[in-house]
Amino acid sequence: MNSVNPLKPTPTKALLEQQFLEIRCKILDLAAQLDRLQRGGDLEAIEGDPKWTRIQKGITILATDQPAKAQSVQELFSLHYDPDWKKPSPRF
Amino acid sequence: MTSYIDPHIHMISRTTDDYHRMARCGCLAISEPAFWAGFDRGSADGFRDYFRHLVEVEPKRAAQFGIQHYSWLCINAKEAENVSLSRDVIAIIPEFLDKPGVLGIGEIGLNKNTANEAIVFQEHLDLAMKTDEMILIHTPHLEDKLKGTRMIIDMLKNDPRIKPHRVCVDHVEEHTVRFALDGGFWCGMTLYPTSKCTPSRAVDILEMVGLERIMVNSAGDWGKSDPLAVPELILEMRRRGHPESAIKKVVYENPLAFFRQSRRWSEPSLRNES
Repeated sequence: MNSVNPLKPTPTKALLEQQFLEIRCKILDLAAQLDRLQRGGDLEAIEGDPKWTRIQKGITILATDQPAKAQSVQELFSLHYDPDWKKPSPRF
Repeated sequence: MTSYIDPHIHMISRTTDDYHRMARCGCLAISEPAFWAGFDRGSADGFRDYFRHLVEVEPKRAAQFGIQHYSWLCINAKEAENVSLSRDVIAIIPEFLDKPGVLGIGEIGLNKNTANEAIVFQEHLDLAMKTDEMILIHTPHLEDKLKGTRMIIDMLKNDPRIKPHRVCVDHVEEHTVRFALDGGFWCGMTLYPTSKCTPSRAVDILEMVGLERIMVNSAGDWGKSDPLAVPELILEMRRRGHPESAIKKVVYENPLAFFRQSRRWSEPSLRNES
């Protein structure tokens, strides 16, 4: 990661033109999935379910201006890591 | 057409037509790590037959289409929960290590991040160090990935015999790629339709971390996967206007540089047409 990265991101304006329909499609898909959950008629049944809580938090991340949103979503859907876990010893 | 190498694909679970289509898209070589068969095998002899398939049968199937076939041997992380069986399998691996095309030990790793998986992972490292082999590492799926990747890197760093440049940490994503690269390891991104990385996200990651010590693969297997995923990444890089030299580095030069470290690497039939 020390060398210069030859890949330059596509400028924002051009990217928006290129990806507008894809982004629209993905937002629509997500909206339809949330509608489906609602049409199930029992949103109260999933209140407090960790899966639903993480989905709601994930949607919040998307609406912020913070960078590295994909990484934040990944971390949201990840189990906790304990650096003091009991490691096996190498056998020399 | 850009020539490419798919450094991780399970051809035992793909059809001969896939070899044909991959060759038509520019695939020159592949490497096939030992993995889970979709069911837990009952004995070490089942693995012996599987290893024979990897080192004897698949290279012939690939050669029909001008594709060079390489392999990696181990007991996978899922079956590693059975420590006794794992030790029996690890004991037979040296029988196959001098077969042509065997690049090293892999894909070892963690699945559900259990103590037994960690023990078997470390015993694979012990074998690899004793026999001076390269290592290919599977990192866990979905919610287990971050924790498992960090545990794997803890174990690698805890073993002073490990040379990071001879280890590939595979299936990295946005939240794990930097742990692998910062540790001096190679890393691989797997291009899957729903889990792991899509081609678009993989190119995003390349734009963020650069092109050093990083590869892409299809990890095509018997599940939902695309044996032509690497050409999809090539198309995505082109769509974004990235230079052909950058594409070639990711899909051809980088896997070649990593593979060339293996004692049994041979490349006389490789032809770089790009």
